[in-house]
Amino acid sequence: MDFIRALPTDETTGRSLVLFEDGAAAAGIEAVKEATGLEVAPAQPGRELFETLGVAIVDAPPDQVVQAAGAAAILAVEPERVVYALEATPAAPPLGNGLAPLPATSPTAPPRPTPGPGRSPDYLRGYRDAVMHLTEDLPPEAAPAGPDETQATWGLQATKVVNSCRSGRGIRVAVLDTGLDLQHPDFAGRAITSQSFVTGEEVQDGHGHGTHCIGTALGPRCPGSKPRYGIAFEAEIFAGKVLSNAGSGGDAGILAGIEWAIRNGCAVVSMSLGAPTRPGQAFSQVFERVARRAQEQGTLIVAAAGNESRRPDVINPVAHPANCPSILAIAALDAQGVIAPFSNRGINPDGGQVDLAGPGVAVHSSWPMPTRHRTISGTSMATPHVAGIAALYAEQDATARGAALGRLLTAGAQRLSLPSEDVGAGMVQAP
Amino acid sequence: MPDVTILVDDDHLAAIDEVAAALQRAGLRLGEVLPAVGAITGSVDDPAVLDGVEGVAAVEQAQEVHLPPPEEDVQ
Repeated sequence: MDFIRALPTDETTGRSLVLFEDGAAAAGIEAVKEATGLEVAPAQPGRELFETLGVAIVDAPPDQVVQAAGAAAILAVEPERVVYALEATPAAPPLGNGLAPLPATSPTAPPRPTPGPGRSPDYLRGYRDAVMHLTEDLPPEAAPAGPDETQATWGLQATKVVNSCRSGRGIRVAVLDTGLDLQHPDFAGRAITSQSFVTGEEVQDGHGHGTHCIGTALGPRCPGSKPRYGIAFEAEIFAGKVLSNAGSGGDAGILAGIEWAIRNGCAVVSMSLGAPTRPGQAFSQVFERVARRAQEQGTLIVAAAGNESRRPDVINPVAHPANCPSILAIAALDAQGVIAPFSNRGINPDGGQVDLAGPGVAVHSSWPMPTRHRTISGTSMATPHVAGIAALYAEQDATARGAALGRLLTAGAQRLSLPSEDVGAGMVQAP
Repeated sequence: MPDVTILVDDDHLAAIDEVAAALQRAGLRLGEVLPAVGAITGSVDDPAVLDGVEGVAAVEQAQEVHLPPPEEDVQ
């Protein structure tokens, strides 16, 4: 079926559409003919619906028809618009929350209506055109501006964190990264447990990456300067340093950090780290079994999908260890709901897919003093959004731990008009 | 000497220290024993010598991860 619509411009044919009162179409057409001498467009085969609809096309502009028709039972006169078949569905504008609207083929969308008796495709097109004409008469809306971050970051808005009544109270969240700036004023007074798994280095963050990630997942509700950027502001912070101040680490330290998180009863482990994988590469059997054992002990692991892509030309598979089936792999979206150019895709089979997406472009969060705050991008920034929101779910439902917690996250995600290979279930949403 | 990660099978989780000792006898330079996750880390000249040790489900060469420098905009 051709997808037709009126163009937004006022391109008209010079003829008029005349809508008559119910049951008065035939008489009304004759009345218009006699009173005006104007031609009513001849009925064409298959166009009987005009009588059903009570609509006629008159070969004159609307003002002439209105003047000439007099007291005929006319409800409305409109210019006939020129319509074109479009080659593709027009790109939908972003919604207020920055996310693209649901596609018509979304599993959650209602099925397309099948035209029934009295609802031919032409009837439906006519109905749609009338609605579009009405919407064209609406006052113009303001052009969409960039996200307003005066109160809270765009990411906390797009994930509905700002609307959540949850704080992560009572939930322990481990962030395995480069540590934390333990003197950062935004974390003063917080319950912080920390341990370094890097030989010869203290937890104190000499890189900045860890402080940024902990800020997103666990930062304060009211930081020293707005906007708010932290999600689970009452959760307990477990800062595990598994990456050196130079940003390097290995599987042994990461496994030791996961062990530490499990033994401390952390419901969530956030890992904004990864090693690139090749197409066709299998996931790690060690990390997969470790992640399953973690889930069985109440600990859910989320990890960054990786930044090795350069879309649209280069798209690489989800990194290790996010490519394990039992680790949630997190992709990065921007404020318009577009996949970040660097965000990896679920290319490899058997668990190498993306599970969820989070805000990962232009993310404002904490950075070691004296810088205090910084705005950066990466699947590393998307991952702690999911970790912090996982803490909110864990607070809300004390039985939701491990795999069950992961299912809540994916079930609650906002579906997007993007391939699931790129964004999984969609944009993570706070409870 | 490459770093390795060793997965202990489900039947030997309670005996992970014995598995670690057997791995050392086979040539593993022991890093850490991690009972909650059921894994053992260390290094070994030839990972293949660890394959037959009782209680071992998998031996993998440890991977390294590297972050970009702090000044990079994409992390």
